[in-house]
Amino acid sequence: MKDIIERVKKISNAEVSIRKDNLIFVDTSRERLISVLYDMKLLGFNQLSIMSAVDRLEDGEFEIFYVLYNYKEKVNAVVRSRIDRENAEIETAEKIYPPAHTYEREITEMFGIKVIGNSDSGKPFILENWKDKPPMRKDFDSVGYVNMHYEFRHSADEETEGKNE
Amino acid sequence: MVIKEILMAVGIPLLAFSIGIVLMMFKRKIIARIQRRYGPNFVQPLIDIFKLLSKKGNITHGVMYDLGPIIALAASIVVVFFIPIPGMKLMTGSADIIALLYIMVIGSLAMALGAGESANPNSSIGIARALTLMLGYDLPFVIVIITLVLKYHTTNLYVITQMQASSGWAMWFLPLSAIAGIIVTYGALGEHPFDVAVAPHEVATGPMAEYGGKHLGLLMINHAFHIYIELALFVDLFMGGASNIFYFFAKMFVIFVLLIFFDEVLPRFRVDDAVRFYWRWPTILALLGLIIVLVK
Amino acid sequence: MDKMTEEQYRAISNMLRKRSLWMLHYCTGCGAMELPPTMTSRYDMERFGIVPYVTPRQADILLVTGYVNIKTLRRIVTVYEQMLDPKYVIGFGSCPINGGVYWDSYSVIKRLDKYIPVDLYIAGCMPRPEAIITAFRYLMDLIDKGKADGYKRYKENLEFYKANQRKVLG
Repeated sequence: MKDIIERVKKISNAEVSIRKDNLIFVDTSRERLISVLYDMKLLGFNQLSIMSAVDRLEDGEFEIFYVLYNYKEKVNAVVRSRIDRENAEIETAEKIYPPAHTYEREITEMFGIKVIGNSDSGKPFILENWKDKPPMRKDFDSVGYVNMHYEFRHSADEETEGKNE
Repeated sequence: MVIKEILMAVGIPLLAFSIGIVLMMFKRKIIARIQRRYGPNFVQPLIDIFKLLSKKGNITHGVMYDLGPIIALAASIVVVFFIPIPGMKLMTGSADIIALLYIMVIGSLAMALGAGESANPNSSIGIARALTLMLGYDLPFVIVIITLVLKYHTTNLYVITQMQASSGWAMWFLPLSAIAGIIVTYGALGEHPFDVAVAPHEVATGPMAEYGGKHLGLLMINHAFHIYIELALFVDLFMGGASNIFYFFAKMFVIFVLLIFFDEVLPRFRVDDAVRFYWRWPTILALLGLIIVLVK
Repeated sequence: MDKMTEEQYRAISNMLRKRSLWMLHYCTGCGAMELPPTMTSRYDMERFGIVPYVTPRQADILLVTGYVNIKTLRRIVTVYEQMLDPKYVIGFGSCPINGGVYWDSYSVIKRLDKYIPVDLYIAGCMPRPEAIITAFRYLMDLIDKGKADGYKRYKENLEFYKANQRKVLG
């Protein structure tokens, strides 16, 4: 077992589970998330690879995760926490990891999670003129939206011609 | 008398245009064969010009936008009359090589005004680069011409060709100036190490970015004239003109094939690298040639 | 010169114009991966006179290669209206035909036909260079017969196309 994993286990309020030799999962609660991230950075996990969210519809919660990487020891670490689905709010991590700025804009737009402290959080990012529910949630009916807004081509449709090849 | 003048006034630009078009046809085929594929049809440049002149839909950004290609084409036709072809003196008696240098700049200035009027930032960047490049290659060009003027003690282009016909080509006596002259011809034609003005994937073809249809057809005709002018000037200055029109075309063809071989394998300079290059090596070669002529 | 009627002029003009079509080198989707093999030495496209150019003002053919988002559709309509007549549109792959693999996505349009007029579709995901060259030959055939008139249809049915565009673009 690597030495760095021993040191990660000593962080307070974090439960570590080991999946492989170079992949560990660190579970924590919502209030301790920022302090756990800060401790991980002090231990040498310098790179934020990706940050996103998973919609656990049956539990009624969102699960936010950050994937961190340590160059010296070559260990990946995934920091997870669960937040409530109805009033979803987290604090920004861009002071610790600056790339989190763009990822947080994305989860605000796609999942509807508010991020406190991010200056660009509410502005439109990828979608233009979107008035519906945030589209990555699991109770957004994609096929229903498609049937309402677009039309498919049927073989007997001669309204506009396109020559087929 | 008047009929002869009219025939010459129409026939000489047609001759220059056809020589330019034939050289363009050869260029595309040779480039294709270097890249180990079949090329387009042999008469492809003519079909391209026909297609461009038959496009409908006119857009205009103002008067100068329309006048830019027309003035450039008119300037090229005027320059054609000042370069002697074998057997005819044309108008070289009334102007000399220094006036020719001035007249050759009119086309680029007209295109600069026309491209500035089209409301596209790519055109402005392209024309700024083209004029900077012209600043670069003018310096060795002028030194080479001064070298030739000092050697032959005259500024009349026709007299220079006659004197070379009797005493041998200037290329063998002034090899350094000839090399500098070829490198200058690259920049003036917009061939590959120095085609930063028309870089298709960087600046969206530079000054021609907003021109389409009939304007672009005029610009392609202008390019054919431009090829003829640059190569004919080089052949007259360094290879002594020719005794008849077929030898003239053969000499231009040899120089053009040499240009294509280097054009195809070299990448592109940035514009400040190009100007720095022009003010270093071709200028040193041209100055060495000048010193040799002065010492002798 | 009096003997040449309108039809003869059009026949000669079509015959010359079909041999020098210029393509617009905008890669609007994932299908543009098949364009570099078609352009280079193995499946040479320049034999037919087709050369890539970079501005809409200078090109004839707009290639819509692959799926079309709503964001992309806004830009494609602007680019299509900037090209000069006569112009042609070719839809690559199965996404412009009926949605392709993105048939249940909320941001990909399903039929390109409703927003800009399309002359030709090529099936496949992605079509091979041989299929692309066959499609260009078929387009040259259509130009010869005078049936490739997408640009005229756009001008005649302008309200239809504009209503569809407004409905989906907002």
